[in-house]
Amino acid sequence: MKLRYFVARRLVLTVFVLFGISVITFLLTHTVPSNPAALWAGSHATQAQIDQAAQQLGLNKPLYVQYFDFLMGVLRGDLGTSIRTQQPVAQDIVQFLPATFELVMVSMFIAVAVGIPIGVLSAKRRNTAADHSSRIFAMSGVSIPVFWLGMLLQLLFYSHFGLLPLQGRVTDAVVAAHPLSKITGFVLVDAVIQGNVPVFVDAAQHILLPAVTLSYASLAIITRMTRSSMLETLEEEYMTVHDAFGLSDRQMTYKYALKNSLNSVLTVLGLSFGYLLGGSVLVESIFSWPGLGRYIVRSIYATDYPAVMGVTLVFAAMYILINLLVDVAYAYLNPRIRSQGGSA
Amino acid sequence: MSGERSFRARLRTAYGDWYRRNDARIEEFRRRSGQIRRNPASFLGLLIIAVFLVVAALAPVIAPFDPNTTHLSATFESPSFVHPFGTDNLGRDIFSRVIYGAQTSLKVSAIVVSVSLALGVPVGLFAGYSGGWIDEAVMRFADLFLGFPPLLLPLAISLALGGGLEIAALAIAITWWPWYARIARSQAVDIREEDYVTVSKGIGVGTPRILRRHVLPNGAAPILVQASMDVGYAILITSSLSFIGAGANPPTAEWGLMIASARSYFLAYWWTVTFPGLAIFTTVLGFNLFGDGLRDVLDPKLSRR
Repeated sequence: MKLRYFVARRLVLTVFVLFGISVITFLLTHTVPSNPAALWAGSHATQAQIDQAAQQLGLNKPLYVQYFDFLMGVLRGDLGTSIRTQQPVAQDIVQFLPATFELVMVSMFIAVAVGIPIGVLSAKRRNTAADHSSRIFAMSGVSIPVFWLGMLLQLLFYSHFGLLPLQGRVTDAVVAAHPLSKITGFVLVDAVIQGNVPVFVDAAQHILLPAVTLSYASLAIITRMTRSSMLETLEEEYMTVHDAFGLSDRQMTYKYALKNSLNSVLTVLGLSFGYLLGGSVLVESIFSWPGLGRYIVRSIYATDYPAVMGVTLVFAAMYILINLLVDVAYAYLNPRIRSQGGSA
Repeated sequence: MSGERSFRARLRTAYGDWYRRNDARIEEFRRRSGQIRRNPASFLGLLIIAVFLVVAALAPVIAPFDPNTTHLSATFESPSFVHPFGTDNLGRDIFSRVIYGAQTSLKVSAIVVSVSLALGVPVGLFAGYSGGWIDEAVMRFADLFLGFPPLLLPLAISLALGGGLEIAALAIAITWWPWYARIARSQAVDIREEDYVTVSKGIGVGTPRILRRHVLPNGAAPILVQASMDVGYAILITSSLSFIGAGANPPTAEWGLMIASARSYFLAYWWTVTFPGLAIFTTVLGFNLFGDGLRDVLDPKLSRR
């Protein structure tokens, strides 16, 4: 199968999946909560007010019409209005997304930059103490409750050592002293662009604990995958041939084995991204990180369905698109996979 | 002495036949369980699981205090001989609450794993065995549930259904069955081509019977491995849902909920979050270690070495 056919098939499947998750999200928002109109109208509403709210929300129309309206709204970028903030959900999402994206990207960087070297080391020194410790380290990463890890780190680095800030994204006083104008919405990037060293240092200190906490599970997955795929590659015949040619150990490991192993590591990047998005819900609320994760938790406490479902939809869409990119990149690098057609 | 011997003799006559008939199976089981016990990592996992099960079963016997009795004169006591894990903001004994938490965790993981198995395995077997458009349609439908990042769909479903511990467990199962469907399907696709299936079909055995008698037993290994690991993940995800407020309701002794309620004061009283979290971590690790060992034994092909 040619690459473009593969990409076309994956695109069609992606559209189908996006449509499906919009149906699921719609059903969860519009049919399951006991009475959205009553929620919308507030706790002391009269029956007339509730009826009016139902009219306003379109809840008295048939279900498929409601879905059609919902879908048209989503395509226009209208995700409804938040009950808690009384603002359009889409506007809230645009406001809180950059903080989440910045946190997720820094965590992804940590996971890749630390996970791959540990995995390589573990594979090269198979069944040594170093290998065993790295396996335990990886196994712990997928077993530890991320919210607990965050709180332990807060106890240690804030309470006990007083080294790092407890929560938040920047110290207000630092930003007040060294004003930072918003360009990209990513504090770290904005600070670099404007050469604002104090804010950059402050923001880096703030992001360290949440990013490390969030990255651990993904780090574990990447380490495991790198290890097992390196072990497989090291046993390939061409590695013996390279060895016979007298290539140095270093060249063999990094130029040949690692390069060929990274293909399969790529496949778990999409999965890790999902872990990061899901984990951000927990991590952001512990570290009071002003992103979508904390937004969704606050909305949960306020039983703000439109906000919860809006964020869920956006997170799912991001996850699906990242997985699409990963699959296409994988098919590009590994022609064998194209013939299998790929699944959604 | 003679009474004991006759008891043994009676046992031998009663079960000797069974032993002789199942000799090969028993030998196989011995060999495989020996493999698990000899691997230090999976043995540790097995040990943790055993402790967890015993603690859950004997909670009322082991726990020194009632998990929900408050002692307002004994709030925030640090760990001591009386309260090994200290007390919380209402003076409840954290040690006893952690012990009862094992019961809660066992209950939710049983719901999650059995419901996901019951939904996913038949669907996957049927899809894989049927092949063609049925396979494609069923599996694409299953994929929809995997389109959400972990945690978010169970969160949304649990919230929409009104929350609570059992609802949260059910919500997790609704989002997990596609994983079992995928595994069962790929097993069915392979086994479908086996000679014994072709022969069964040839002599007119019906599809449900073929699936139950041939495909399922021969494809069970990876499903069991996944299930053993998922018991741990079920505990992890349920505690996460409880932590954000979409799971257990107070005053349930649930590990995630205990950590969540300690959030406003944990910086001053470290023991209020440390021990419940340690309980989650250890239990989940135990099931992971065991599942990993089980995979090496049952399914050497899948083993990641």
